[in-house]
Amino acid sequence: MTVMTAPPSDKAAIVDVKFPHKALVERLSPGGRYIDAATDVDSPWVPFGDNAAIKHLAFDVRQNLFSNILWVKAPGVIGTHFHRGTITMVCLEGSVRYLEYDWVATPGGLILETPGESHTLVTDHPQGCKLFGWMQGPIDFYDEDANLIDTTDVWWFINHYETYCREHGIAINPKLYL
Amino acid sequence: MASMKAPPSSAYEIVQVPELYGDLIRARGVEGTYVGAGEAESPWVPFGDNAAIRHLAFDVRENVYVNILWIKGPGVIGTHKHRGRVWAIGLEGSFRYLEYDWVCKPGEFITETPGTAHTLVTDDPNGMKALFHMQGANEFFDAEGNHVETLDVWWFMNHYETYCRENGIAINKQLYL
Repeated sequence: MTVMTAPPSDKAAIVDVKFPHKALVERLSPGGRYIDAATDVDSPWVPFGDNAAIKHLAFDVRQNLFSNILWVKAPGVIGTHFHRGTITMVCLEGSVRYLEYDWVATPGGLILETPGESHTLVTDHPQGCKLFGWMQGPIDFYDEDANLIDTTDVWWFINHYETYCREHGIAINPKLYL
Repeated sequence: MASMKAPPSSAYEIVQVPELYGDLIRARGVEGTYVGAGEAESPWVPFGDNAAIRHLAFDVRENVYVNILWIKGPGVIGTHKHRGRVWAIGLEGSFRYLEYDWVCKPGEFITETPGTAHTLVTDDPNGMKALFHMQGANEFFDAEGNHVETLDVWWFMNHYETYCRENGIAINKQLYL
């Protein structure tokens, strides 16, 4: 069996790691953070069409990276879209599939998507689905005739969040901005 | 002055680095690449009448592409918008963007960030060469601001492979990360 060479520790105590550039990190690192994704305290559900909502969790404008939970509330579709970045998603509730693939994602399942793929998201589950996503780069959306209609990226997602906050008197949460 | 703690070494010899996962790395890791300066290793592929691109790397997992852009005389690369990030270093001649007040000359370094759109111009009689490391989509527009085409790693790979096919040049695997 493989064992980790780091000594096992059952001591709930902070070890002072002697990283020599701590002052630099303190001055310049955006810092890790915790975002409460289970409630609306850190980030509200922002409507996305009639049957869906998005809870925005993180924005990184340097990498065009955005993280959120997509909630499709009942059986429905997110139309065909094309990715130019890499997507990591975890199914949290319900189930979801793509018309292009033969699998169905259920809670706990992991979905990876790579640049150059296009696909059509469908949930057949009576309660729809909730999907946690960690996404990089633009997503191109098309109409039925394959005309490009809209390209969403970190700016679209920030605007989606901020517009809703402004319209509902909700304070912008600086924690969402990496 | 800050100094490195690693001992200075003047020995021309490989030190065996302890590696717990050497077998795994050899079996599943990806080797670094080397692309020499010659056209046999990567040709100048025409990009319009006044420019050429020398492709150096494609990473389809990250939508990353690295190349040298050569504009052969005074000219323009029309307004385009980035949705990923760009790092570049000037190699020859000079270039600037109509949107900014700097001019990038050999040895000088620039970055471009997601969301920025700009228009590349070279006024140098000999044009310019610069190394670009780009991630993600690169959108081009016509004079009325209509979106015309989006370039990404697949476009650049196709640009390289089409030219190689048409000219009987072997595809260089070193370009594919």
